[in-house]
Amino acid sequence: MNDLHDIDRRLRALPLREPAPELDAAVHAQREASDALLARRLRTLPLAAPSAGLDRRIHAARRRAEHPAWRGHLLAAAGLLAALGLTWLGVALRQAEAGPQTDTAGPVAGTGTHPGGARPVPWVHMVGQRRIDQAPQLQPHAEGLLERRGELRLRTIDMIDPRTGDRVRIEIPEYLERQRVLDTF
Amino acid sequence: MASPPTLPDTSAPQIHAPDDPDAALEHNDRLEAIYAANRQGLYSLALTVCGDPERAEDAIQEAFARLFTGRGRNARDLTAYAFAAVRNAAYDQLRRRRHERNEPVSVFATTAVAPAGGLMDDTDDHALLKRAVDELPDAEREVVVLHIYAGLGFTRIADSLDAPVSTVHSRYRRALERLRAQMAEVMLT
Repeated sequence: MNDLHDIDRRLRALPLREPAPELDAAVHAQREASDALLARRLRTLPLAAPSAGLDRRIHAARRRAEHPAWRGHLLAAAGLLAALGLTWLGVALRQAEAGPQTDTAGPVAGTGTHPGGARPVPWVHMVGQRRIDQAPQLQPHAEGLLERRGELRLRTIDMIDPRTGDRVRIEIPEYLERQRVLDTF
Repeated sequence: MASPPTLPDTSAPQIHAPDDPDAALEHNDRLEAIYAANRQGLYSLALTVCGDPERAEDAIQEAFARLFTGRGRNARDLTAYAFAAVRNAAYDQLRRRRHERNEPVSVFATTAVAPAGGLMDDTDDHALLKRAVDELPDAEREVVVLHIYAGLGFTRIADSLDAPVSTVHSRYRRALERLRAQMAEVMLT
């Protein structure tokens, strides 16, 4: 065993020939060449390409960045406001030219009939054709009973027009609340 | 795809010169030129990060939309900055859809497969090499894509990845060694 150790020590002590300095450079060059060859092979692989739409999206992104959407929205809002203002001004001017409104319809006469005619009209129509500010201050006088006309159950309300003293009878569909009718007048 | 490495913060607002429309247009012209010259490279980078063609395009659009608003105007190297921005956006896409477990798509185009059992021909060789690249660790694959397919130098890649040049160089070398070893292993078996 000791002999083996001794041989081992003596072998390690022997001076060795050193490689030529050019060897490092040669190995390095070989490695570089091998890398370059592999890189060349890698470059020959076909790549997945982006879609044609990507170019359009990039151009659109630039347009949006240079002309932000809020500017357009702001312009649109300003235009809308201007249009509304002009409309309101036109209506106001027309009303000023027409002068003060009068209640041309007069007090409602008859029972649920159109003023000036005997044709029965639905209550909603009768209210709808009279402007709220022109409506006489009707006072509820008495409330009639329900009666059925065809499929429609009607409630009648008798009222007194304080301006003329006339009695007015209004028919409303059952499903309309009485208070709502009075509030409307 | 592994968790993203540390990224340069390209989403943070930069200190700009006072708004100058001409400078903004010039900046955007430069960006358009960078996009046109690096379209494929940018796409390959985004695709290798997020592994989905649609998300890759979304990432590029998102990144350039930010850049067009003036981000990176003071960057030392706008090309590297654009690559960094696209990479960040691609990682954002990946994070947003991390619950979706779709198989990542290769950065390479799909081509016809060679008949099985035949001798190794060009098509087999390509297929093996493609798979070997796809299976590289994320950090090494990014460097390979940026150097080989985007054509960026190591300094510019280092700027894009916010990493030392020596790190980029060693990642590239390790990637090539890995590819060589994998190819040799397949050829021998």
